[in-house]
Amino acid sequence: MTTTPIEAAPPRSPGRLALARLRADRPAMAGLVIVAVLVALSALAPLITWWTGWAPETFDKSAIDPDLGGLPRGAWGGVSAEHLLGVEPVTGRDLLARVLYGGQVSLLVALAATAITMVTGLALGLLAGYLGGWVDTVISRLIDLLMSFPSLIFMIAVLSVVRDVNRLVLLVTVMAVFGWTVIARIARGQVLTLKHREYVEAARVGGAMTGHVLRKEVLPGLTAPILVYATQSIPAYIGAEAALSFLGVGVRPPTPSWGQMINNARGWFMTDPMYLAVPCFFLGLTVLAFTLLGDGLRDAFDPKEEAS
Amino acid sequence: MSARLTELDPSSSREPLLSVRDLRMTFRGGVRAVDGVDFDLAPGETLGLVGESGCGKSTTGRMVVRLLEPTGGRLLFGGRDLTRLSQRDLLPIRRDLSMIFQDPFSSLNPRQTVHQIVSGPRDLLTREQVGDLLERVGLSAQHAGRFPHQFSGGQAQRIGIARALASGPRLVVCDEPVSALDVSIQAQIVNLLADLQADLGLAYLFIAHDLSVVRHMCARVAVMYLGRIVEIGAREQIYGTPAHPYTRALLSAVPVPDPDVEATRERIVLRGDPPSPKAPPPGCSFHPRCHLAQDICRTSRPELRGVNGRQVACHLA
Repeated sequence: MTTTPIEAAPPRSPGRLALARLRADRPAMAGLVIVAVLVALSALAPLITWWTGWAPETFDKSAIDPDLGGLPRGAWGGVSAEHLLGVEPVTGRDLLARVLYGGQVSLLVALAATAITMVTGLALGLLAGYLGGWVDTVISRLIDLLMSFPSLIFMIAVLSVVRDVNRLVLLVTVMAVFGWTVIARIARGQVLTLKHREYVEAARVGGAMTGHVLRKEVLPGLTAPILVYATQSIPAYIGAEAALSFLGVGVRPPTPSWGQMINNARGWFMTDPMYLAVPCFFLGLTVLAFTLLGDGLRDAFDPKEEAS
Repeated sequence: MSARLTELDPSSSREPLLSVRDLRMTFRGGVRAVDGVDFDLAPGETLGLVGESGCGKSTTGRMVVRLLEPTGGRLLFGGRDLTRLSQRDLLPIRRDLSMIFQDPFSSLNPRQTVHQIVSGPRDLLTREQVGDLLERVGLSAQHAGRFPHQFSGGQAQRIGIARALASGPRLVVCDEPVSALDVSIQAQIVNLLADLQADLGLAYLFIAHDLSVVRHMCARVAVMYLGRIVEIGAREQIYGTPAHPYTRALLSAVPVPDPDVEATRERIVLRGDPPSPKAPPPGCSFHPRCHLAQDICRTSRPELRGVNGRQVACHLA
């Protein structure tokens, strides 16, 4: 890349500069492509299963060998033209269909939890940081309380006690209750440094009221760290959903989920390693892709680079 | 107190634009950043506010534009008491008040274009008006679409000045407007501020620690120490015949460009740091560092009084 003199350069906002840096970041772009493909595959899961002819709940007795205790027929866990990623032992359900529908669950839970935690965390963090005083005290103590809580144990307890509700909504709710605290803390810290920036003071001298200052002067300064944190928290939520489903308190059968599939595959990994490998591969790939993208975003928005 | 100021302060023959009376700011934890400050500022006049870091000069400037809420005292602007107005009631008066900040970059939002910055949060100006303002401060109208990171420090400060002029103010608080700039740029910005004042009839409250810049800019000068004004008067009096020992010490710290004079002149070197504004010393707050201090300085606090046409807070002046 050649450098052009400032005078000739067209006006570029810091956001556009960050985007340009992101484009030049190969691992991040690879992550973005993988994320896009995975999201598309999960979203198009009904179309794909319609095309392959195997829905996630459809049993295929012909694909398994009852004499071998239900092991899939054929090599690689029953990979064939009929079942592209093989089948589940005993039931013969199509692994491709189950892994795609499982991806829907994982991505949906992670995106919903991230969206809710971002909105809640941003709102409370902004208020705590900008208003200060007792508002800050109440919100900060609440954050301390939730952060000091053993959240995983609490989640397992709640999820195993509550029964007759939508498991996905419950999962998202429980993860969001604990998840907003980190975003709120980041937002609060950023606001504390931003609110004494001279440009915020300049806006106040110019007659800007609190709402305007928060929306136009403070919030745009928060987009970078919050966007980065949100992208990095998606893989964490995917992992959390998988862990809870693995432990049997997350998504309930017959709805497929990666964690639940990995849990089921534990007993088969000596005889049918493909059953374990397929959901593990998708889980690992998704987490890796989001992490690469998150790291790329963090580098692109690096404030040290922003000054140049 | 105000009657006495009117008597003694030569500038106050005109109706003051800004009158500051017994202004106080005590931060949480009991830090008395500003501890009873009085001064008047006439329309079109420049008052320099000088002193060491932490003497309360910036806090005073921020209270004048109500970025900080004073904990005591009054601010009369054009005859109205600003301290009694809510931020919303203050909006119409905000047009008359503006501020130029120290750090040209941190005072410009990096995510806004120059047009957005100059036309301000209430989007007061048209394209043409922004273009005119930019040309007024020595930039070009074409710069309006750019972002702050595309400018040098001096250019960025010009943008800050254009923003300060956008509402057509009568009083501009300049908080160390040149101290973050290269020396070569400082002169340009100081001259720009002086030209703008002459053309637009602005009054400046010029906060700085650089005594030579203040001497160039300000017809009147107030010297602050530990939250109080220790000497205030016309530039010629403060620089020619400083009456307060602190003023003399400050002036003697300014190097003289002539090496012969520099080698022979008398310097008053202040020992130690200013005392904590949390617990100012009894009596004259300058006495622990004053080379002339006597018993009365340790027990009784000197008030401002007229000495040779200026006001000084010193028992010995």
